[in-house]
Amino acid sequence: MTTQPSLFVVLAERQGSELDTVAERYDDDRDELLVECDGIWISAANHPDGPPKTKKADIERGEDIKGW
Amino acid sequence: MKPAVLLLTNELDVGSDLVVRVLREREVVFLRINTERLSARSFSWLGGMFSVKTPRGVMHLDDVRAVWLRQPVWPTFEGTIAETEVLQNQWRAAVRGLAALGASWMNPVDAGLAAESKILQLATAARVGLDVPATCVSNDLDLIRSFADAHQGCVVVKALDAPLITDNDTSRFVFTSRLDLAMLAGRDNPESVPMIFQEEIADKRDVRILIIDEEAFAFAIDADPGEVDWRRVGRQAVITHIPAPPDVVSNCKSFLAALGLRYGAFDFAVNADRYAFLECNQNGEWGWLQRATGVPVAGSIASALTRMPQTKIGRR
Repeated sequence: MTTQPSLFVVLAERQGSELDTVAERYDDDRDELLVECDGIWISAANHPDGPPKTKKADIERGEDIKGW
Repeated sequence: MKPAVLLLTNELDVGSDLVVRVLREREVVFLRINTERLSARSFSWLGGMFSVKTPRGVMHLDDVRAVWLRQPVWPTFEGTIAETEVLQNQWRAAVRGLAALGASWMNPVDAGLAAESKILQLATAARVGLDVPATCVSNDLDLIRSFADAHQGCVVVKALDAPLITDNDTSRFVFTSRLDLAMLAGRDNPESVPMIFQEEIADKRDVRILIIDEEAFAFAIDADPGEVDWRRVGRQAVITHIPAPPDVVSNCKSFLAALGLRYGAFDFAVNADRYAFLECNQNGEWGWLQRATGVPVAGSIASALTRMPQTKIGRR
């Protein structure tokens, strides 16, 4: 077993503001939209948990996350 | 109420919200299942029929003609990681069982899974006539150095699979980067994992082409020309709706047909007339492109979900 960090890990960069920015852009839309809450369609603003918080990693980078 | 369209997605997926809005405007009867909530739902298959119990009543799925599979997220459970994985697999199996509906899926589960392979993507792209940059997938440093030498050192490196590392509240991402051979000096050979090493397309412009059945939408993503990966500049990128070369679109459609897909987000590095294929994401994001340009991608997806097929395809 090698002790050196993988090149993959060496190349990994910390995520920062640009992802948050993308999430903010979507949040602008989100308030106008409808989301499902336990099978009932309601305004996001009236969601019992408050408007869903955009999960930043699932937005712009969502394509890179395995769903299955 | 019997939905004609089934959306399998997650609660936070804004792309699904955009499609939902169109379906509601068109008065299409649909059901959106946010898969992370499945464990709180009654889901049944009895007598060859699927049903889901919601606060609105039991929804029978036997009239579903189209399924949109859009980044499902699985329920979480109390217990060990191993237990959670096994329990989540039960829901994966249940959802995969919805293939028995005989509906048309965008995209079919198995085809979508296979299409996640970047190696398969590159091989398929070359086979259908797309322009694929010289590519080496390897963890052999000697081979990687030789490959870089053959391309005068103009090589980029990127992840072969999901590039996001999440540790608690922080995340790190493997962007596409220029390969710095000095970085390889003194490292043990072989590397612990393979990565993609690819001829760099100099002075490129990024273009994403969305194919939704027979429709195609192309977008240019202009960032700092010297930046290998536009995602590093995020919001500064300028997005423009552009015409797509018909031959490239035709090859993209052949690519999807070869892999049994109905939707694909194709990324290209474009230099002059050269459209160099980078990858096709069978679940690729598009909401930000619609937002920036007004191009009705959600409408196109909604149309694709409602126009076919009128009769169910053969049940498995």
